[in-house]
Amino acid sequence: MSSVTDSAPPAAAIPPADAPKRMLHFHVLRHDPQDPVSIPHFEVFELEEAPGMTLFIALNEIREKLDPSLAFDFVCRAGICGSCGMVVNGRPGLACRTLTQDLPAEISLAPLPAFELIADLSVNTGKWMRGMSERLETWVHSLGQEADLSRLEERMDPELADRIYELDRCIECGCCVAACGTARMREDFVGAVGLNKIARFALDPRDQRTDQDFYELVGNDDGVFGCMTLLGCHDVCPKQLPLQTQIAFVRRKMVKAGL
Amino acid sequence: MKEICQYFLGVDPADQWIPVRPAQHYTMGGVRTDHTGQTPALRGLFAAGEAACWDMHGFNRLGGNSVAETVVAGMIVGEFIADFVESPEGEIDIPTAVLREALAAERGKLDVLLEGSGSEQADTLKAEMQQTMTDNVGIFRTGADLQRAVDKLQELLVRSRNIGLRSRRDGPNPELVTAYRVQKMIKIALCVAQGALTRTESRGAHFREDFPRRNDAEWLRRTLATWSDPRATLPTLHYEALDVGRMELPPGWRGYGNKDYVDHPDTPQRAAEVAKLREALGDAVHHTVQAALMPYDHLLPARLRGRNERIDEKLPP
Amino acid sequence: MKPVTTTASVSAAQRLRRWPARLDFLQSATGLALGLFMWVHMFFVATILLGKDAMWTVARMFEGYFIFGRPVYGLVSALVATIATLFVVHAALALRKFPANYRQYRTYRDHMKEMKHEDTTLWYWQVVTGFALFFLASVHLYIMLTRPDRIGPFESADRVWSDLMWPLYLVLLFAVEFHGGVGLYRLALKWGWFEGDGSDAAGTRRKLRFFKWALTGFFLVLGLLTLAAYMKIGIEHAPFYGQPYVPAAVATGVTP
Repeated sequence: MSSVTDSAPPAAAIPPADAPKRMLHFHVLRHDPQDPVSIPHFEVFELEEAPGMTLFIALNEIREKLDPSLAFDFVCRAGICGSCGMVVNGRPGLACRTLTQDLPAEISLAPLPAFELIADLSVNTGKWMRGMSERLETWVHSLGQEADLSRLEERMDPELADRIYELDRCIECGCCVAACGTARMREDFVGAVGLNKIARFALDPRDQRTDQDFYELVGNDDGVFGCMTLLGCHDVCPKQLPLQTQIAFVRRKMVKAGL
Repeated sequence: MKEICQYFLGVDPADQWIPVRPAQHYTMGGVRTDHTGQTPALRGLFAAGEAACWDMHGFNRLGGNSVAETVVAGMIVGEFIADFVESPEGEIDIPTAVLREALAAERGKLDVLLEGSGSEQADTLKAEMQQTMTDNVGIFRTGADLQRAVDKLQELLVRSRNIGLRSRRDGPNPELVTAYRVQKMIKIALCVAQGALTRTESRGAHFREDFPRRNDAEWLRRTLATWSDPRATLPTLHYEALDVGRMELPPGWRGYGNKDYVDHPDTPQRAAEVAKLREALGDAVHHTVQAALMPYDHLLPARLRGRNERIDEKLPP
Repeated sequence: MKPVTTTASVSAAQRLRRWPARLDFLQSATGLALGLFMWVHMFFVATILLGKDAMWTVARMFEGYFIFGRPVYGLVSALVATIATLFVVHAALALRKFPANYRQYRTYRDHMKEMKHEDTTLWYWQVVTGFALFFLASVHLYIMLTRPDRIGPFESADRVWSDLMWPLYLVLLFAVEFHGGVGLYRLALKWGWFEGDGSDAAGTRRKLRFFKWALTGFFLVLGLLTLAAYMKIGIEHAPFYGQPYVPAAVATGVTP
């Protein structure tokens, strides 16, 4: 084998320095709800595209070079923390894992609807998620039996553990809520994030709640029966959670419990 | 790995190179605490997890350390915090005037940033700090580079006291957040750079090209940085010696790499002691060996002192 | 304070809490029944394409003609009444999902325009067609309920053409096929039918969506051809308006 061909970068890897670069136009919805004279409006920022540029990189560049007052949230820039959800060209998604190369040169950015606006692209998903968690009691209910930390944990079938983990991957970014026509119309709807949590705890043998208990939480029109199967949630979920099948699962379970 | 490349770089690793470069990911240091998680410097202040210098992982940081820090410190320090809050010691009476003063001081710092006539930009300072650290305080370090970094960072620190904001809005103001934080970031960077400059040896992630050997004789000591004078441009460094005589595993050869290091003078003696103890105990159960070499049960919260069940060590029901 | 009879009030509250499950189930069940009926109905009506005799036979069949030897129109009325009941129940339950005010309507419209998401857009059209069906289907059901004797190759054709019902039927056809098609598709997703072990939910949905559009297309074509056939017969039969169709075999006394 020739070492020359081995070490030469593949043709597609790095674009030549003189490759034509796109100028991107970011149409960003600006508003500061705390400022009485602020009116929501779109502001346009122009930026030259770089290879592998994500919206995270672009927004930081805008803030550093063009407008230090632009508000948006980022923590992990790796699709784990769920704080950079925003509406990109009409669809909710995580800015940190949206590559500009997958978007047209005109990019519109707006804050996630359905959540309290902090400013510009920054919304308070935490407040909403906390309310949802408290309402649906999204934690393991061991019903009075405190876990003995000095003992080995009860063993779990790896396949079941995988199924629980699959649903536990939710990062509470709020994209599913923003993409849900029902949640947009009806503020009290728990959203796919809430129903997914119920599915997750219903699977978990450590949670001793019965279907009747879960029915008390989501067996109503603000819960699973409010869902109209529009599936915006499933289609925008950045973690590709199986929301379509999980909501159907919760619905079947809850109808059985309620009939 | 493939997904990371696709989602965050737009690169298909099957036929494209994955760009790789070193970057700062974590700060191997934290608020110095005792075994309960409480700082000796300020009573009632506890730190746990990656924010603490609690000695769980020593001078190392590998993937997954954060999980262990969170879980173990959460359990142990959490218990200590609850105990502290319930104890008479936890009754902390702070005069309202002191609180008001502290609040006014912090508010004053924000006001200076918001309303002052500073001419430095926070983002520029941050970028210069990042570049300085990348260029001079990277994986391979030299005294000259580190000195350059310390000089530059001191200059940045001075400049950071003259930050002026372009956007003066109150409330959610990202520029204010950057300005507020960048002053502290530069101080942390100075602690790292000055600590590295002073430490004339190589240890763990700190590698000095001009001092490639680990030197336990001089440097088996923890660097503690304080910043008592707010006008100072350098931290005050103190060194806390480690007591080899109490170690279960005195620092020796790691089992990999060259056997090229300088032992601590106490190490051979302690190593012999440990070996002797182990030999004397023979096949004793590991709890007995642990108690003889380095007892720690008494340092745990009372509730957690009992034996833990293991797969090969069942507890009586 | 008087002690509250806790057991009674708890069970009453519990009973009350069961209703959302029942209503949701009923909405789906009535929708499923109506959707399937719609398809079967279309096949029966379309027998006109096979000839007047075929349609005549189907119409008489529903009247029990071949059992009792004479038409029993009450049977048709009873069937219509059943469908009408399902229709009213379904409409009442579906009404719960409609936007409750202009703000909700506006929010949904804006959301839909922004998202450009097929299933979100389809729901809007499901609401629009559902709303239209309140009126269109009611007219049709009322006529069928009150004049069950006027179903036949000439009788129906006269109604379509001479009674000027074809514009209503044309709109009704599109509304019902669209609404039913989307409704059945959504039912399958809502309850997780055909999803197998759930590992390929996206694939199932793609297939379901394909079938949905294919079936809607098929029934629209069938419906349009059928309506055209009735209109043609209606035009030809207009001078003889009101005369029922009698197959040649029956007219000559040969029992079919």
